[in-house]
Amino acid sequence: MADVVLEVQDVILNPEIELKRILDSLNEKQKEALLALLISILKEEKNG
Amino acid sequence: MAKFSHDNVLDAGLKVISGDSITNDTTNNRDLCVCSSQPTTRTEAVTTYCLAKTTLTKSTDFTIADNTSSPYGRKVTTASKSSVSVTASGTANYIAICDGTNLLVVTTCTSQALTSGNTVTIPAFSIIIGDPT
Repeated sequence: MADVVLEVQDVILNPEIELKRILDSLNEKQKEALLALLISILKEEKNG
Repeated sequence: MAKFSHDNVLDAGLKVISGDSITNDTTNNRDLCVCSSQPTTRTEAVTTYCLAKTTLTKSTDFTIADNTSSPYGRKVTTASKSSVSVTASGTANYIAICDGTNLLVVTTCTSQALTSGNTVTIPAFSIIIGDPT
């Protein structure tokens, strides 16, 4: 009889807090670069 | 002044999961279910999509403590459950915790095929609530 060992991911109930912590740690230039990257990704997704 | 919440505030949510809360189902142990599809109700977790199911004894199979790495906060960690009988064949994708009435938490696991009659081991995992920022 085989036993399968699963790998289970932890649950973070409020991940936006961690995201805010990361954003707060960025300087203005890093924030601008991140914004440009997000806009670029969203445009790519929109264009399929 | 930095934002702050007492551990008891965060622990109140975690105790709903562990069965220690006075505002929730404290009479029943928890069902730990391995599911093939994402359950959205208790019935789906314990019956419809259930491949294997075991019991997490309320309070004693849960440990509440600080989460000492990012995201800092509080966490409840489940006990590992070894050699749980597989009752239906399928691919394990989700792990759910239910009380006697509600589906409480769903998480994901690496996709693995399970065969009825074999066994599965579900390692410990944590549910984390981060400190306020």
